[in-house]
Amino acid sequence: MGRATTLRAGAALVAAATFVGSGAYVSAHPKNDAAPLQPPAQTQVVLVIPTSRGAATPSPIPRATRSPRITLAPGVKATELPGITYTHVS
Amino acid sequence: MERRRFESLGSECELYAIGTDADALAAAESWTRRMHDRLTRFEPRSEVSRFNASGGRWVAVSLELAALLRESLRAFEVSDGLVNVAVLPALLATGYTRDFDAGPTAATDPPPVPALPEVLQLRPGEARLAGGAAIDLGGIAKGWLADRLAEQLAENALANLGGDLFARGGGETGEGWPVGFGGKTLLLKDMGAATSGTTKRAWPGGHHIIDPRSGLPAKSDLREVSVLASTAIDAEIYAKVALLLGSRDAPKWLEGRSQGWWLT
Repeated sequence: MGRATTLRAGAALVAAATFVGSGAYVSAHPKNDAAPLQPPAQTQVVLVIPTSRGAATPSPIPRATRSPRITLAPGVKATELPGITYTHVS
Repeated sequence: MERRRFESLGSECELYAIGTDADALAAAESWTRRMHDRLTRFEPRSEVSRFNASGGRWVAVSLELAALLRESLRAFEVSDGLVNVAVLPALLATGYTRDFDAGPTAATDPPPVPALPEVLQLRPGEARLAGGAAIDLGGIAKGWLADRLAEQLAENALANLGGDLFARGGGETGEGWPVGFGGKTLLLKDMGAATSGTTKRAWPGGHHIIDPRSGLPAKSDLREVSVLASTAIDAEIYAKVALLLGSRDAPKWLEGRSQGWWLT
């Protein structure tokens, strides 16, 4: 009884605490599907350049980056505070 | 400040209000759920489904559906036909025939999308939809309901129905309700916001934003557009138009109509 039981009980306690703790962490950090990518995602265009033998070789040259653009009328104020809610695709 | 979150209209809904109590928010949630039951196209007994199946007859419509049909006709005019609730047959042809979580069905050739004023007529208390036509109120309903909820809740309230929102009054500080918009936080006061995009309700080879010009899922170089406007329903209309127009023409169209936009 003594030591072996204590070890088993300890292991069970650690497993239970890990389960509860990870569940609480996941619940407190929900994924925000609509959050903009940071830094803004860039579009990578892969050009296909014919070689001298006529075969096509992909050349990974990043081009044509397009950043998200925000335009606001003069009367619209921004703040450093976090939003209580947000607009998003649904 | 009172707040309440719940699932309805196929989305997450949030209500915030200052100067009212929790019972008012609970009543607002109940009203939203009743409106969902009435306006969903996924329930054959809903008012919208029965209207879609009315086969060209004049039928009595509720005050809310009548108001939404009027707004749908206005949206068609404002958007030069780009926002057209009569896209439902084309949307069904893409395979979006049932609740999104159940997955798409096989796609078929899309029928042409009729001009809404040619298939929808209104008179006091009644409406008529041409046989074969069908409507999906979708985002129009969310925007309109968000406007109504903020109006009913309190002079200082915010209603967000799946991203279509209206902020009434100045929030806790009086300067505006802090709302996430395009990676920033804006202070919105008596203003609506909405986002349209192809990044959700999408599946391999399709998504739910139909371009009425082709009857097919929109082919835009924009993935998401967020827009500010004086109401949530106008923000919803403007966001969809901008998405369909694409990055070259959207800013020109939004200028003079919208108080702000974010294109990506």
